[in-house]
Amino acid sequence: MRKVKQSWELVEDFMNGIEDPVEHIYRVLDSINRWESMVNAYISLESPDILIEKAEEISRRIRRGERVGRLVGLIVSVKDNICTSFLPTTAASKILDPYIPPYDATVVERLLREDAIIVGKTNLDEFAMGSTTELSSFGPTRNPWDLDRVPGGSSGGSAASLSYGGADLSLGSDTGGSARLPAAYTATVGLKPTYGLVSRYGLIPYGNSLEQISPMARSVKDVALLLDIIGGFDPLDATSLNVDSLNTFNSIKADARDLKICILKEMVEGADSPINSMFWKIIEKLESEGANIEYYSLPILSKALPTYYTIAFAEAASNLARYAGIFYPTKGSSSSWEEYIGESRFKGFGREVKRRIMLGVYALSEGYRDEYYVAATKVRRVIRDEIVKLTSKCIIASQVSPILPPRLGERIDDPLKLYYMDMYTVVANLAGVPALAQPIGFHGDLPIGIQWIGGPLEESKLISIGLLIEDITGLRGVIVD
Amino acid sequence: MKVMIGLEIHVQMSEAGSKLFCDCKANYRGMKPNTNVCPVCLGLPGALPVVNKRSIELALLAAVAFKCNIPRYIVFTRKHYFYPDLPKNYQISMYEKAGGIPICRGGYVKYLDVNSWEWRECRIRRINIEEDPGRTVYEEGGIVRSPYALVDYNRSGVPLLEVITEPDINSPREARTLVEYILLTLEYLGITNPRLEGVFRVDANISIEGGERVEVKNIGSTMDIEKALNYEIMRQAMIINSGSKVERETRHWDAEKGVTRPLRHKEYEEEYLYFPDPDLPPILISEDMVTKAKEIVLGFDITILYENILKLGVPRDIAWSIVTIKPSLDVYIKTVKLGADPLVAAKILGIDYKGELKERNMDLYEYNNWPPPETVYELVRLVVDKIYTYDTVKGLLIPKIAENPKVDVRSILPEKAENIEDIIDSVIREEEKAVKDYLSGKKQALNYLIGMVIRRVGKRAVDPRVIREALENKLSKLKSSM
Amino acid sequence: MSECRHLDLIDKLADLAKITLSDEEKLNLCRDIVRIAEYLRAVGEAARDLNVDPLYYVWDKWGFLRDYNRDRFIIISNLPTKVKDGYVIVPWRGGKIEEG
Repeated sequence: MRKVKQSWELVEDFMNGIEDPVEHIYRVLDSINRWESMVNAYISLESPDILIEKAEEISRRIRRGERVGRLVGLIVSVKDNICTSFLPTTAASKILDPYIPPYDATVVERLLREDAIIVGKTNLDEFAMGSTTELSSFGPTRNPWDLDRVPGGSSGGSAASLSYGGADLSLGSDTGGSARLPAAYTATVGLKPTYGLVSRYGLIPYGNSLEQISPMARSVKDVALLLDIIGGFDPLDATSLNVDSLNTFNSIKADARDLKICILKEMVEGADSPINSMFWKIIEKLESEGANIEYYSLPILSKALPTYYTIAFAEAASNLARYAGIFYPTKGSSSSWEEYIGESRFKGFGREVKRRIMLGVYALSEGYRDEYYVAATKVRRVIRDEIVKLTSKCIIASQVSPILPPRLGERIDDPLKLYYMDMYTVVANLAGVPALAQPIGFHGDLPIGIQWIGGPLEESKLISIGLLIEDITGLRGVIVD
Repeated sequence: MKVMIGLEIHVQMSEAGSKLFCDCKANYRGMKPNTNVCPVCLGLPGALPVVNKRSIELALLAAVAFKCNIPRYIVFTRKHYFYPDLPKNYQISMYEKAGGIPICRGGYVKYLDVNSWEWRECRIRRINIEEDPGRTVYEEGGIVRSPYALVDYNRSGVPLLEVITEPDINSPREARTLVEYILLTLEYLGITNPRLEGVFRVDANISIEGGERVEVKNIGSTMDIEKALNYEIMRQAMIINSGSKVERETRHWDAEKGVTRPLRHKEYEEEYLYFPDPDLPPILISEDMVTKAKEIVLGFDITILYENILKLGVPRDIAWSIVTIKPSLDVYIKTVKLGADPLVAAKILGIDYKGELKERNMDLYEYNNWPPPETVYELVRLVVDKIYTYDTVKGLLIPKIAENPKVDVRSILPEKAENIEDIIDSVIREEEKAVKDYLSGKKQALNYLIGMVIRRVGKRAVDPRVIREALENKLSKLKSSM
Repeated sequence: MSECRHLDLIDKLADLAKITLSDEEKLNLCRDIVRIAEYLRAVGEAARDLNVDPLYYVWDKWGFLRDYNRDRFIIISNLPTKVKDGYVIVPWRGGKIEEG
């Protein structure tokens, strides 16, 4: 393990001439060369020539004193379910291999406007359906902290790229924990924003009503930097909230004595013991420094996981109907329409995707809709109401995952075991509220994280508490050596 | 034999400017295939729909015009079916169940049946706002056998109103009249241009007492509504007469052959997996929006406009003739406002000017083809003040105005009889022989004299009948003075 | 592998989802889907006692309406699709497809 500068510090050093963007890109390319063949964090990478050229141009502009963006010279990796017009976008599915979108996602436009350098597109579970990044048609991503283990998912490629130094910042997406779980498994930081704070325009949808593009980085302040740039109203997304970008970057470290923390029985029970003990150690530490800790039980949360999956499956079945071999590369060979699309979809989708599509169809079909999909939306209302009410009083603390990073192959044979990994993270997606995952320690080589859940648009509060925790743990800017 | 017909009328809101959820054009006509497309209307991964404001405003006008229950908010639903012209394989539409809320529920249309001049009523079950799919062209063999389909997505995402009626219609003729009335209403409200190619399509549900209902899809013109329904009634009657029962099914109208054909059977036809589109939060229909819509609808209510004309003493067929052509009604109202005689003005606009445009194959609906109200006012004045006969105005002035609607009437006025008296006198003086011939009984000499007068009148337009009248007058005076 | 008792349901779902399945895949999916559906049933049971409206959009707020933004026309032949004379070609009733 070693520590590197935070991205925001790097930007300051670029501007002061202490660091050079060209040297920096060479450093990042070195890490990629060293790790990528083992880790497989990227599905596609920008050519080194182009990257170096961009860094040189930025370096020139800085030297000339030209106006530059807030991410100047930073190397950003982008999950491969976010559209880029200059790199293929596959969502890790064969059905989109190869596909280059004719447009850029709003978040990508915003990154480029701030002079970020997009280095490549990161691996994920196909269409973000998974929690381990094993279910990619481009092969699994491995956890740089232990190459026999998974990095979590579905934004596992983004998390892995950060933890081995293959990027400074990363964009993931989080439908049910897909940014937070990989963050916890790789000692990085992931923030699932308030639903509607970040535009989804250009995010290949899985569960539209649940997901948000999520900033990922190696420190809390870096996550804040990235969030401020991608957040704020976008007229191209009807679910975008009519708010300006937040100013979370300038949040100051929380004082433990001002903290009100709630712990929900349902969101801490059932975790493996190393995770449990590390979690309680932090809570005790905060309490000893004056934080107010309260304990609650919300029995409805025992239904959060099936509620989440029912809604996600239904939306997924609908969203994925479009992949029928007309506009996309994987095509059937039959010359009869019905057979052609059936064959295109058979060839193009992986097993878990097919499973979820069919379950989604089931949940929406006449005779089952009320018992499944509609029922889930009702339970969701209760969960949202409870969580919004509770987060108006306190920040919820919980674990991120009930288990340590599993070994490759360990979890994917049994879908229910796979879904179980999301039991603590789906709550924030169901309730629409922001949630931050950050590292609090290691069990051997394996990182362990903690999750903070705030009220709607209370990202700043999460950043503040995150800064405090970083001071306590010293885990900031950590990469694998 | 009691016939019950219900209609689903799909009308494009061609005047909405842009497509329902993106900035591509609502009227794609004249564009090359697949050049009016963007990530949103092609349903590309990650692209998101955002509702076009104008579409909602226009749809609300229709909902108000048809006296609907208007909800406080509307919810779009996804309707799933796989079809080549549907890029997402779901259509963003509305539905009254599964969380959807349409713009209109439970309205009605009071429409004029111009065959019997009676008012009829048809209940509207609901009106949905939805996106149009792309347009499919089949190669030889058509929808049933064509080896492949060619798809143009220029139409994909164009805003549609789907007007669903109750089965209150009792004859094919009524069905056609109703659709014409609805289209006219939507035209007056600035929602659609009914004359654009493919701007509306009708599906009809039809049942004969005792039988199941049959759906006939793909009817593309008002004339075909009548034809398709007549055909279908005949077909069903034959089945009933032969002692069989009409089965519930969906058929396709083949306009070229003039027959309905069964569509291939689908196993789960009614399974559309409806649910509210998670990309589109509900849209509030504010009281302010409804109030504004009501004002607009009141100004363009064709029933009121028609009855206002009747009140001026205009016969109903002429009044209706004016109302059906919006530009002519606009000119008519303004002409009457200027103080013109309503009956003469109605006759000019509703019958003769319209007839002239038709004869010249000119577009009746093009505003530029109609004269300004001042011109019509002048024509009416000429008739009322007995300066010219109606026939003169019709025969000499209307064609000239149709040729150039902006022409100054004064510049095309035929010489009045007293102005050409001098010419006539001089012709009588100089053409002694012809005068003598005429007076001695050779009637054809009159034509020669008329011709001579016309020649001297030169290019100025005169009514030969006026010249003939004046000549005859003078010659008969000459005769009696001899 | 044991025969799955719900193959009818799987056939119907596969037909609605328009996914052709191999026999083996069908059996696997049948086993998984029946198990997962059983697990998800807990939601229907929980909702039965709830007297609340469904929540489709998490903030229960009104959506905004769009005025003209900007043209985003794209060129269809840049997509991985078959195009002939500007039209997108889609297989329909079988037969040879000429590409243009």
